[in-house]
Amino acid sequence: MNFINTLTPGQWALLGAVPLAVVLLYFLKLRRQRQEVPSTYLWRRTIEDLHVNSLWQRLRRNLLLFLQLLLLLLLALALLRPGWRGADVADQRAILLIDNSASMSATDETPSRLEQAKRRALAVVEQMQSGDVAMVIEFSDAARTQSYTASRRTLRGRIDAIRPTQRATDIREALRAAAGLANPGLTRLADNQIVDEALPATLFIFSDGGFPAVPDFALGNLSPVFVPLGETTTENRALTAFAVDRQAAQPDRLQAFVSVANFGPRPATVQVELFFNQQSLDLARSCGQRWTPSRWATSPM
Amino acid sequence: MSHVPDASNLLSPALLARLERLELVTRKIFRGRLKGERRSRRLGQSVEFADYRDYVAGDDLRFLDWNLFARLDKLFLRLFLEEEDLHFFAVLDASSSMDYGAPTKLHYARQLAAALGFVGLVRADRVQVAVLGGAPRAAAPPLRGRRSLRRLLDQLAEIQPGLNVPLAPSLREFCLRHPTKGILVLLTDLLDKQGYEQALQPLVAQQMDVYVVHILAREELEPNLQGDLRLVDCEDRAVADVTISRPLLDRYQQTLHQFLDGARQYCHRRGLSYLLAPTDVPIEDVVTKYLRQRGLVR
Repeated sequence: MNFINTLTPGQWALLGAVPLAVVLLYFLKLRRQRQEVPSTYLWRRTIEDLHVNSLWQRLRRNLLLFLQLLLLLLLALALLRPGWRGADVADQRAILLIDNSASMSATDETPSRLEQAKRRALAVVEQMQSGDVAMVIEFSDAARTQSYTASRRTLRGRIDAIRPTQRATDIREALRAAAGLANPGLTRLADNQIVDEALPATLFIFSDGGFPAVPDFALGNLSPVFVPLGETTTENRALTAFAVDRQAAQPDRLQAFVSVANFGPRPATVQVELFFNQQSLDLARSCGQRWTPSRWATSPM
Repeated sequence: MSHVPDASNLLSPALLARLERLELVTRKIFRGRLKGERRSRRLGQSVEFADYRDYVAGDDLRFLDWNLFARLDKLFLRLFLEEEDLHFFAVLDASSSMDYGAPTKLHYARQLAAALGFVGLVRADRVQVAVLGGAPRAAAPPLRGRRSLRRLLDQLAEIQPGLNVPLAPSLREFCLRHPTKGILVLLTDLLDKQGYEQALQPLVAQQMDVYVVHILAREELEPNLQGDLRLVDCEDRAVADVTISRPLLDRYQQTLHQFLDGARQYCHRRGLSYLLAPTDVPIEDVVTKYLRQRGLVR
């Protein structure tokens, strides 16, 4: 348990004076009801030796006063902001950004990067405490946002439902969605989504980092936690484009366009085979160009 | 004499019927002034024979036993038990503090005085009602005989609360004024700030059979108060600030019992009879049970 002091000594002194003032007011407030009795003879003798502590006798068993003092005590305690500081998810809100782009299907993690990401996301969900809410955003080149929920079961279901895609990685949309939820005035969500109140949140990003840097993005209330998946040294090549087109000038000819990208750190030679009606076509004539991707974006944040 | 309306409700007919069978008793031998119905240890004139003694010159010849003289040729005097009356005083405290309770302590005292006075009247005793601090001139004359009951009740009904005098001087004055022997029943709540001990002292010196009937209201025995109060004494307007709490009430009970025990012991040690009479105990019980146990009535 640790405390965060939110008041200056002067303010504490002021707060400490409040209970004294309350007790004092009780004495000022005390208005005795007059009651005529046959004789105060016995009463005088009764209170004779209680006079010394009558001041405190007066306050004893005064429930209202005790409640007020208790309230002040609780207020002071609240100003100390008590809490437990833990390594687990103690935030109120968590946004789980799960990358399901094509590169996440790599199997350098077991069984695959996406499965590993899902597993870690589930671990975060398991650490959630009652009252905590979380949301799952799966992203590749587009983001699929869901609403906040406190139900772990729903979250588990949503995480389990994430399937690998053959898409490229573009984190910007997902980040914008998350930032819109966390920062006021940035809400850019589709109409059918529940727009929650903009509140600070922890942003968990489960990704292999295969996306370009986002220099113009402001996190605002988001506190990001990047969970890297996969090895940066892993050979990773992808068929990033494949299109077959009939040329207008020569309608009897088909033109195929294949784009192969290498996300690995080293140049590589890739053999590409194109089958047409189960016959391997000879590509050597028209192709053979080798290229390497511009760079491996390792640190998106 | 103005008729006070509550004179009639002092005694109920049923109680009167029971009281009629009682008589006042005293442990001491008193010399009554008038011939009464009470058998005395004193020898005198009555129908009840007591003893013989030798005749000495000057004795009343009427009491000579002539038969014995004829047989023995000696003069003997027949002695008879004297029957005499008893002086019964009911002394009431009519201070303002007696005007509390339901019924008020003063009314209770009146009833008790009426009941005991009636017993006395029926047995031809002299009954006298006195109020502490009352003007001596206006003191009620002694009453005698059953027919005086009405006057006794009127006298009692006339007593109004408000005579706030300290117990001590008024009792001393009473004792000086009535040096006679007899029975004295003091009806008071003993709530005197100067203390009752000093006040009861003259009664000890008085050769009377003294009964101190300590009348307290239920509110005084078990106060039903709550909250922060400024208690005002109805007699001297003195105040006591109290905050009622369980410990304070316990403390009050302690003080009260000290007070009651103190009074009881004080009276006991000095040969005074003490009886605590809370106002919610029926008069009938007090007279026919408690005072009977203490030997005031028989």
